[in-house]
Amino acid sequence: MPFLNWFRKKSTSTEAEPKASSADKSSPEPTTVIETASGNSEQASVPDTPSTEQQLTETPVIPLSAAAPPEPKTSSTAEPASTPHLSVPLGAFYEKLPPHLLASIRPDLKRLIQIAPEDIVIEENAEEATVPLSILSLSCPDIFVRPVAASDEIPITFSLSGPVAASAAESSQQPEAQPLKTAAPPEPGSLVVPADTRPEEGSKMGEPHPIKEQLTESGSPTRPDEIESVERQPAPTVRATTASGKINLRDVTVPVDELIRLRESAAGAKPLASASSGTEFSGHTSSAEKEIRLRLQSVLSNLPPGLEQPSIQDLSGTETEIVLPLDLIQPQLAQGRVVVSAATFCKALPDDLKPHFEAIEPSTEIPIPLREIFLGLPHEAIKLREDQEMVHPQETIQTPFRAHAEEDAKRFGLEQVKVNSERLQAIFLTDETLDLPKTITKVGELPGLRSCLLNTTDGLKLAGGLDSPDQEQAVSVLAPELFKEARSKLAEMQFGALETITLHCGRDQLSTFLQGKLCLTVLHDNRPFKPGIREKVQAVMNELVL
Amino acid sequence: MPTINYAAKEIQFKIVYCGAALCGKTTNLVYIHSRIAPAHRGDLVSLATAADRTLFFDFLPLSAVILQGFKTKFQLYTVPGQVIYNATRQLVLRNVDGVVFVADSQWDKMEENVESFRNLEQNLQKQSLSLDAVPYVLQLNKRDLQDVAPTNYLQYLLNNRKRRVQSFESIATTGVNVFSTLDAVTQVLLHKFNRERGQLLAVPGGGGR
Ligand SMILES: Nc1nc2c(ncn2[C@@H]2O[C@H](COP(=O)(O)OP(=O)(O)O)[C@@H](O)[C@H]2O)c(=O)[nH]1
Ligand SMILES: [Mg+2]
Repeated sequence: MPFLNWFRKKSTSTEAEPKASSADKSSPEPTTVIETASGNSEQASVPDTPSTEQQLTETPVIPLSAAAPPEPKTSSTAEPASTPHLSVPLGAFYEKLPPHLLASIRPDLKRLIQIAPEDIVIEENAEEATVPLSILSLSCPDIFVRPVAASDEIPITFSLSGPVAASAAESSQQPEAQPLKTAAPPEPGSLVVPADTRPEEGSKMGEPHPIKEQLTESGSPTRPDEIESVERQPAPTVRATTASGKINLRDVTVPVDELIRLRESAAGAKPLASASSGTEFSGHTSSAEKEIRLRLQSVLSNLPPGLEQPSIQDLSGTETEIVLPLDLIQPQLAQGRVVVSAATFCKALPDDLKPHFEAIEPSTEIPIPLREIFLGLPHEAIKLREDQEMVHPQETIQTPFRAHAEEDAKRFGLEQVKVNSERLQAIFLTDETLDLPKTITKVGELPGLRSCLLNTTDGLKLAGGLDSPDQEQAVSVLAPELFKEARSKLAEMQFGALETITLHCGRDQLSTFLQGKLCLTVLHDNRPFKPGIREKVQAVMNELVL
Repeated sequence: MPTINYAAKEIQFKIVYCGAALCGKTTNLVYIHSRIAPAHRGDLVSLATAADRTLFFDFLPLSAVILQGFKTKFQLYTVPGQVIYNATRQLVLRNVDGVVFVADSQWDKMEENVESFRNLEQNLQKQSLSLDAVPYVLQLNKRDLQDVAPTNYLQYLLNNRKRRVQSFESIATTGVNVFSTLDAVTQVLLHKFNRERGQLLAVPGGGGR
């Protein structure tokens, strides 16, 4: 099955792979980039940062038509190339678009549209790409009945393989696809793989990959030091917050050859449902693709008593990890329980461990602990349906329990947050009455964000939530400290008031706003703030008073 | 469907706490009972079974007149969570006006939560009621514990229907969000009542405020 010519890698999904053994998710992320947005949008001082002007020229451009590509940059400095546009056939995502927003005339699905790479996140190995709906509506407004509003915003994830991909690959020979070729940095390699040189599915796992031949630096297997070197590139690490948001290093600004090499090594290393025998646990890094990495130890410690045979007990303390297809796990998540057959489980084991499990009847169900799965589960895997309607009563009826609720809120420290519903309604362009929980939910639903937590600077949770309680706890401690430290330093430097701090942590990015005793943290969906969103969240902050 | 007593100008709503065994239903009621002044509540009646309990108590609200001159009473019930007591659950759910579905946030309770939620749906169906028509809210309980699933997973499991309901992260043992949950379900229920049946109150007694 051919890859699309615009197949790019989300580098973070593999970056942890060669890392040292650790079950700890917080273990050495090579870089954690701190961005700050101060009141006057000035950039905080961070070492090894290119000039602000340099960065500002690199804001994403979303072409409304298949316009000519920007001139390729031939600069040999470390700065990223100017934005190349990726050509995507409509058919790749058309079926994923909300039907109620689509124009009645079905477009030619082979038509290529242009998307700035900053706006697309490609999951390496999973052969999937994600683009915000609003970006698609800007790229091909004619297929929509109306402009996509903020409230319509959803990420559109689509496959890069299959028949549509094949047709796209053919189309890549057409002139429209040229931008990709010309815009890619000429130096190290190209993102473009001509359709006819792309490997078939079977070859991608082990055989030499044609992409390699296009690399000036050969596609050697990824080593941790290489990843380090990618991430230590001084140029792309810190960006000023601009009107068009920040550019994510991991998605966009890593040199292309490195991206391809990372993708290569990952593709060659992990066939589905195969064991990575003897490999040390690397933090579930394959989860962003169509497979999920699990610590064998964690599965074994959760075996039902009947299966705890001595031969298996011998394995306690093993650091082996197994890889299971996400397709096998995801459909079961809605049941609150995930199992695989012993046969499948054994297939995923490294050869040397298989004999330990031979006595188990192949059809026996092996439970896979959810906790373990969630360590690496892509958040899209548990996305709520897109047509949901919230049921919040519009007006508040005075119930006999309200006073107690308010009293308790006070007692538990939840009370004092006053919300100005009218002003918040104006911010969110809604008639709905907004209380604190609704407001925080709405913040988490803004384009490009996936969740939102409000807590006090003392660490007390007030509303919303992040992906896990551990994250919430850590953030509630870390964020106020960071602000305190950063504010005191920035004051010396005579910058404007610090409003936001953005942390880039592997594939996750989070931004925290702090005002008075309130601390609001958002998790980003793939890349930092879209234009205007940071300001919107800040405006919400201004309406919350503790 | 609420019971309306025109002579006494009284209206009575039934709110049922559902959820898997040991998710914290009884703890919710114990807390509510403990916080409401004796003059405004009945006794907390526990019909204990060996491993689980069914609870029932009457509650006379503080603000006695809230609906067009009618005293409004709320009967709060919990259903026994254990699978074997389904007959009791069906009985308790009869004529329910509002449901609080209490989810146990602990990782190893996810399947039980899902099963219990399905059971609630089925039991309502047996009364020709759809969950979509019954006012309900979700309570994600035991958020104080360490080994809990992220709330977005609980939402995915239990709040992924077309109609997304309000949810509350609670610690029933200390009372965090116990009253917020009750307040929310009461609001949804009263809104529904006002919308669908509010005019009933006005007819025989003519007692609009
Ligand atoms: N830590 C913690 N324990 C709880 C919470 N809610 C209930 N429990 C405990 O869970 C157990 C079962 O609670 P119970 O209310 O009897 O559950 P029921 O079967 O749903 O009625 C009891 O030991 C409670 O103390 C909570 O929020 N946090
Ligand atoms: Mg009970």
